[in-house]
Amino acid sequence: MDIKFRKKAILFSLMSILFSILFVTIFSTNFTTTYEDRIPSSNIRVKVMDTYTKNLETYISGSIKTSTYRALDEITKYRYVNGGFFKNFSDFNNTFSNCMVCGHINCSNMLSANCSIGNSKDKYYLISKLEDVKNISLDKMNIKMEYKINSVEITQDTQENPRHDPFSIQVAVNISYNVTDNAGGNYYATWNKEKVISQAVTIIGLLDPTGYLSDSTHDNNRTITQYQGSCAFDESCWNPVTTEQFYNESSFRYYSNGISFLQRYWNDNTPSYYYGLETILHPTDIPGINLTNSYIDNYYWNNDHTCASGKTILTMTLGSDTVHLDTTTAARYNVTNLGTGYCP
Amino acid sequence: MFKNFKKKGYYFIIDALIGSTIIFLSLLVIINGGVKPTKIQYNYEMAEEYNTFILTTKIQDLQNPYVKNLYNLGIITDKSLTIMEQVDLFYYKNTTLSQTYARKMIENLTESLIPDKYGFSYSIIDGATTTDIYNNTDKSVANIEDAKIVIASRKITFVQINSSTMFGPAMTEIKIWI
Repeated sequence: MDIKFRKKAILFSLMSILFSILFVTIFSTNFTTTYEDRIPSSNIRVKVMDTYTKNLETYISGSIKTSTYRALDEITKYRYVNGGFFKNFSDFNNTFSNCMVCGHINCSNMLSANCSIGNSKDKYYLISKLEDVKNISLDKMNIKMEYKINSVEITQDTQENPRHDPFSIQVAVNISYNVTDNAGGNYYATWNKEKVISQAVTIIGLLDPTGYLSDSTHDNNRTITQYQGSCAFDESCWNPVTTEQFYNESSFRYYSNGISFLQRYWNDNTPSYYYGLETILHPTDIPGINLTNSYIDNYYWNNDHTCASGKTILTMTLGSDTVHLDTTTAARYNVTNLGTGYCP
Repeated sequence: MFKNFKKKGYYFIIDALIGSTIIFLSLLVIINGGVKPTKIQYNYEMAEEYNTFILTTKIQDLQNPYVKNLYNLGIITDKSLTIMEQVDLFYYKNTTLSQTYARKMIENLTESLIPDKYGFSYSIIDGATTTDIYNNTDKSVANIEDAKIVIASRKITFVQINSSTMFGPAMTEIKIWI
């Protein structure tokens, strides 16, 4: 009777030993000696490459910014010498994309003209930036990076630029890239991605395309600076004092009937409600000035607010200059009282 | 008879305890034995973590008196830059003073994080030139040449200088040794 009870009393111990053997058998297969050394090191490598890939996207964004800014600057100067205004957006975007991506007017023919008038040795274009990172990655981190730029589009579209900032443009680059470990190939991991990287780029400091391309004497090289005064976004606050401040700054300001920065490349005079810009030209900016024109920049260059076109032009003193403005503009800036009739 | 049953009850209780101890211990062995990192792995991870910290942490997220002072003095102007970008900017300026700022900044941000027994260095590899920004060999740690193990972590580094200029790509290298 006693022996029978003792046998039953080790039942739990026996069961637990059986369970333990079962657990050890199941779980130890995941940590066999074959993988024990390999898994931790490959995990670290995967982490390194994962951080690299995230960092790469930040680098590409930064490169897009720099390349775009430089390309816009270069193509204004290039077009001044070779062709003037673009035909339309498509013509502009095509040249911009090529200059931004490879630094030449036609990327499929690297013997085509260099977008940089001075043949700048400083390689600003996107491919150059990506080649730099590709080489350094392989050389110093043993990471192989391959890329392909599928398309480039520049815009000030409302959907792409929800802040409606007239002083920035948006560039969207569709890029495919592949990141692998050079030593292990696809053994560790592969990052294969196609992504549209969109980047806002400031236009502050760039040449005003309308003024630069319109002026055959090359005297107008006004760069875009942003008006910072109190009337920046308030049409009702203009008066002789604020208007004079704006004039003296030689800056640009948002105006809903003005012409956006990008439109200026193909001389499109359609008012841009969200991105319109305007400035008042100085007589010194434009030697041989046509005194019967209003000095609002796009009116002046397009020759469409003149006495000949039926507008009344006033003459007035702003700063130390004699300035001509059409009556509608003078009323907008609340300076009609400063003016006297010039023509007709 | 009643006494006998009482004794047999103890057997069951003791048996159950032994059984649960066996299961508990075996689970403990399985859980800890399988994923315990090796020393080398730990060192690799430590170097990688420091490098990622410097790569991703923005100046504005730091609570460090030295960095705060540099900002108050107008030496650091953009708090949205990461620590790595700010060091790049100091490196790009290439003056004795800016190099000192970079060295002291890394020293201030890492000295409390690095255990005393570890050597630590931060360098920028720019083309064929390697510049030591900070190296803690002045402390009571082994010289890197005498180290038993040296672990290096590298990251691509760059910073936007202005709209038309960018520094990089260069390489930031953090070395940890013991």
